[in-house]
Amino acid sequence: MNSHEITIAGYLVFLVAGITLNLLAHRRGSRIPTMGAMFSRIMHSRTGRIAVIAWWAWLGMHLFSK
Amino acid sequence: MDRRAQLHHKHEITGRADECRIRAGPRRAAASSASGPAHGATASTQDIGRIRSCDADADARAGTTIPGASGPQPRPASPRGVATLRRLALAAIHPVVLTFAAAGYFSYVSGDTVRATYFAAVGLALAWDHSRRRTPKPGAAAATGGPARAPMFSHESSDRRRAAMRRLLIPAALAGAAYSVIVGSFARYSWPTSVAVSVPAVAGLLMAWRASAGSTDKATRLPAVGTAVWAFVWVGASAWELAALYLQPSLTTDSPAHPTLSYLANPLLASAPGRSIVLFLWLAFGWYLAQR
Repeated sequence: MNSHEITIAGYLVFLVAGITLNLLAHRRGSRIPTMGAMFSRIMHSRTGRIAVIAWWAWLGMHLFSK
Repeated sequence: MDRRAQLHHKHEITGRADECRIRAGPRRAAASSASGPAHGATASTQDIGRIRSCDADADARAGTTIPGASGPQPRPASPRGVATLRRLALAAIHPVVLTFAAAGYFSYVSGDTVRATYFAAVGLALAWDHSRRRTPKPGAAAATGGPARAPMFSHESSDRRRAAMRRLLIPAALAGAAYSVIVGSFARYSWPTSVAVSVPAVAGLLMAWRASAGSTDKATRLPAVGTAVWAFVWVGASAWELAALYLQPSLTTDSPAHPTLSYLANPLLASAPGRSIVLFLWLAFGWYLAQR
């Protein structure tokens, strides 16, 4: 395995971990919050809300803007 | 001074002290009522000093002075500019504000001054908002005399916002699809694309600022273990991306050996349909976040 494949494997591990966590969170009585609940909690305060939306805005500008 | 004149003088001072208390808010009101003329038979020297201080503040705002009101001040007010700067500096010591400052710094050293300015502006706005909320003005809402507005971020208002967004879902999806097709046809990193992407980005930020204007409800408490696991995944993924970024030959040179997520997205974003799909997903994610 070269470094390119290791790097991509790392991204895939975190992606699969996130999807698995979200699936586990939707089980009845789960002690894991869903991703939506996590975002809601973070975005409850103005600071958290602006931080998340600023990150989203940056993502679009990073991929497309000068 | 005869008895009538003394009574008039006392009432005048008492009235002005009450006015001063109303203007100063409950904290100073509590302090002044503990020893104020409302509880005593005569106005004390301390009361007169406090009223003079109050009047001097008002005069400073109005640009006028009252003759004879230039006596010794109990506590000289610090210059407003210095106090604001001090509050701003204290408010900047916040994890989110510091994160924006760090992002701005790294963008700047990468030669990306536009995004560095963006991060700095958002960080400063948050610091300013923090500094404002560190010094609440309890009497401000009542003093306006206007109708009481429902907090924009209560559970009730959040439900209203979500209901409105659900009603707008189909028109918004159609508009988003049209936007994605049109903007996706523009070249990547061109001025038309930059302007077109900035519009929803800035609108989203302004709406987020407005939607969180008066958060009053307590946040729902999440299980600590589950939250920690989520934090591990997000922080781990971010650290992995940062490691790939710093293993590149330089911050501005892509490396196939240590690809970042944006490097991996390059083949998809090279074509117009790919750009349209990513743009639509980006807008959909923003819609999802706005409903939170």
